[in-house]
Amino acid sequence: MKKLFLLPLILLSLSIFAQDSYKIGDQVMPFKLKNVDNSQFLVSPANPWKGYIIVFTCNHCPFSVLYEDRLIQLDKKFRPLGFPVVAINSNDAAVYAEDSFENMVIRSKEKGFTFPYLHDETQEFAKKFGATRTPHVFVVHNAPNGKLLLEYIGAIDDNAKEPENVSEKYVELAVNALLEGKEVEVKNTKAIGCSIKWKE
Amino acid sequence: MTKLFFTLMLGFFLINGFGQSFRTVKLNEIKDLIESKNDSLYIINFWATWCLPCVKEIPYFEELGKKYKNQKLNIILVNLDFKKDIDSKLVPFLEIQKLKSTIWFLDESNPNSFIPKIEENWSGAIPFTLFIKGSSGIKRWHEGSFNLNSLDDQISNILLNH
Repeated sequence: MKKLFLLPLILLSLSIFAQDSYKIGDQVMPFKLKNVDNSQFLVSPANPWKGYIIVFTCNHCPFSVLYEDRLIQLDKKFRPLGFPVVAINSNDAAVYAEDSFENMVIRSKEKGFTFPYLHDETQEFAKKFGATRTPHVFVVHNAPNGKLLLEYIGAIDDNAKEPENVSEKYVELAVNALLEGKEVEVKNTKAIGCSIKWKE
Repeated sequence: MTKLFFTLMLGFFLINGFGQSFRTVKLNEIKDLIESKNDSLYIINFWATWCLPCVKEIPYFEELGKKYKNQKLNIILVNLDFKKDIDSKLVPFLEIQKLKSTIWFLDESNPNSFIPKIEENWSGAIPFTLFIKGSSGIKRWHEGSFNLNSLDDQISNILLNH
């Protein structure tokens, strides 16, 4: 009986949780997080970027590791065009010590990340964006109305294991469309990935 | 006849002895289960050897499979390892674990296409588990890990009340 009573409550809490996060077309509020260089990195429409490729990722997840080189390539290609990559790690380091801030600093140096790698220690921003897995991308456009608008949620491309056999580069297609002032055609995609490790 | 028996035995030994006790399936076999009107409870858990929380909860599925072995319950662990890693990761894992649950390997290449066809609300993060009892119209989903108690609660709730 107790279990029966709890189930609707659990479902209700799940649905409330889901409604809280950003949806396509929503305004993304400016935010600041600690970067691996110990500075506070600001994501804001006031900055002279055309937008941001925000990627929730981490150190330990094999899928995240598979995409590290592709994130560097994306940043090298789109930063000069005004769309830098911003990586965020929201994982609870108590679950995987590999995902601690100290290890983020090490990984960023070792791999030669060309982009900021931010620590979402409270997990507030993973929840706000509705990130559930790593890697999980959110393309944000610095729109002419002075707001950051969420234009794409999903995967980087359609083949994690074999970069040479990718047929759809979802993030590139989305950013290219925005750079050309067009609407993003595929706004949502899904991929297998590691779940974000939430604090208990 | 003896020859046939011997061949069958050898085949059986090859399959079980080397631990390749999984079957490769396409999406339609999973869809068939999801859409079946069967009065058995099907638990379909999506996992991979590289996913630590998935590997951690597999013993709970095994234990509860044993606990409810006299009930109409089928547990299917659907593996999502990379196809290239079957021999180096999945096969050795299954050899060591000697699992009682049914093991499938999902052979689909486009996650953006197959994930929403399995469950619209699934983001793609694993572990991910479905609870299907077609005769009672039940389709529940859970993205994330279970512990032994929370998994038992889900199963017993459906078995007792539906």
